[in-house]
Amino acid sequence: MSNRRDFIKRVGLGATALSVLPTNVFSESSEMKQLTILHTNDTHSHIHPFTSGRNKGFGGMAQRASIIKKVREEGNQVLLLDAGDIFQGTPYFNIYGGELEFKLMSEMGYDASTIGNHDFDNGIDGLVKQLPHANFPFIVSNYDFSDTEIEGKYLKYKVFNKGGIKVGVFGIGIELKGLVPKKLYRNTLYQDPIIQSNHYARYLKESLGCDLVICLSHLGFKYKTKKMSDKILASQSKHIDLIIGGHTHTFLNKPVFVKNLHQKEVQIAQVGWAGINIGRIDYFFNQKMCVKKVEGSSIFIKKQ
Amino acid sequence: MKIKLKIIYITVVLLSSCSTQLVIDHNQNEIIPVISTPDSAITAMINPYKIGIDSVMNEVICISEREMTKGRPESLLGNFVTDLCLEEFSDKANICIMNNGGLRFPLPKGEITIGDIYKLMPFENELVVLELNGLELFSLIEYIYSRKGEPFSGIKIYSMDSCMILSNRNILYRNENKILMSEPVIASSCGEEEEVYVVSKIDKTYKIRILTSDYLAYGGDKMSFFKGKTQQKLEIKLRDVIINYCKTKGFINSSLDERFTYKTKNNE
Repeated sequence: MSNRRDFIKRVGLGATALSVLPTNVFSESSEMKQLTILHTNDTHSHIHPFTSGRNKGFGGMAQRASIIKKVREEGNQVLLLDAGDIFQGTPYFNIYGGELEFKLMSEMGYDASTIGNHDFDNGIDGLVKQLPHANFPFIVSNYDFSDTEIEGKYLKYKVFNKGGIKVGVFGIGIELKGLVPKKLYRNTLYQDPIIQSNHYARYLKESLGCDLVICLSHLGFKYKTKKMSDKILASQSKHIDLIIGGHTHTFLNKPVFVKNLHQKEVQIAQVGWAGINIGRIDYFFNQKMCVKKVEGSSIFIKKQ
Repeated sequence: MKIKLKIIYITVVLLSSCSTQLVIDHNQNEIIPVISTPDSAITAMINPYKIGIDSVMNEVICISEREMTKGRPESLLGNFVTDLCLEEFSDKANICIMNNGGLRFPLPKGEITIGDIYKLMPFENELVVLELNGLELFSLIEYIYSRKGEPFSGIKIYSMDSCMILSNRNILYRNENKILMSEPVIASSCGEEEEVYVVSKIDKTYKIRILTSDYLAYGGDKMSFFKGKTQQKLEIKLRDVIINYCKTKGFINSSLDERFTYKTKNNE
């Protein structure tokens, strides 16, 4: 028992030493775990801040990196995600094909992105060519890529372990027919977003025991028509907790909640485009206690 | 001290619990506007690429004989862009229309760089061809009239009262050396001295192909007559068409040719 206690003590000390004590982590409840999700969408090769127009002064990847760094310095677990359309919008893409965008996102520590329609703008081969510059995975669950060059180079889902919090992430792409020339997306087969979402979300939540299930979506927030959107997907879902969306360049300045098939609220988030904003969502988790008594009070660490 | 104890407590809970399940208690949302000092490491990574971009953007692709600005009823810049597009795709379309608002920057006199064309056309708009019938063509011309001019090429629109399309649906327009018109029209009342002859009756059965950008083809800038039309995508960006044209020609020019004269009875 003493060995165990020593171990606990060491680990505890280590954890204390490692965490740069944030101001708000335990302010709500000492028993909650916190996860900070940062997200962007439709950044469209905007490397520099806008120099004119109504977004003048906003955006820029070096500026985005500064903000992300500051959030990381708070010491919480951070999950950094993008909802696609990283490509296209400035000469940086026309000339370098997305290489710089991927390199900078890797440097910023992105955990994952999904694939947007504009990420096909140099063809599937154009995207595959840039993949070595990204150290984060591309996740999409409703494109059958088996007859394309990207097969084996993307993920259907991924489970992130963020300090003991299991986060399941899957991705949903938009229908490419009519939106992207066939010669660019080639033999990519579009699969039903609802069927694929329900399959992967259930797998992540129930089979893999994820504490949080996130859908990275490039469907678009909502449409006047019956076109598939994040709102429709959320309403037809069962196990998604959060949809991080893109495509429609929608700026949701307040969280949007939609009731799913189980009458549970699903949150949808999207933060405009061109890297003007970063979305931040902090999740606070309660730990389901075991009946077993813990020795919390018996461990004491000397005052520094 | 208190905080520290709490941290230890949590660590113990984790280690001694039986496969801990976490349950979401609540979440907090925040939008962080990206306005900040730049990160130096990222800036250093961007710099070599920026130098490359600048060198590409500074490449001189042609010489312009004059400064071209946009405007209404017609403009040097609007005529330049629509004329070159129609010239490039003369086998695919009869008329080209763009929007004045979409031409974002004037072209200077003298050396034109790739960067100048990016400023003129920063959008990724691609060219498409749509087929309109005669009545929809009327709508298009009425639109141009209601906007007091939008950039177009391939036709000549007279808007003096006697020929005013809004009043009596008479239309006279010219395509190359042919003059097409609807019935009835009295050419002299339009101030046209060229020989005028009827080639086709402009009605629902009449078909004409319009070259435009995909943005406008989807009904952008209130071009509602394009909505729902089948688009033949040319799969080339408007910007690239302009750049290719400049590179090919070496020298570029534009002129005002009274293709659209916005006049009303009052100011005649």
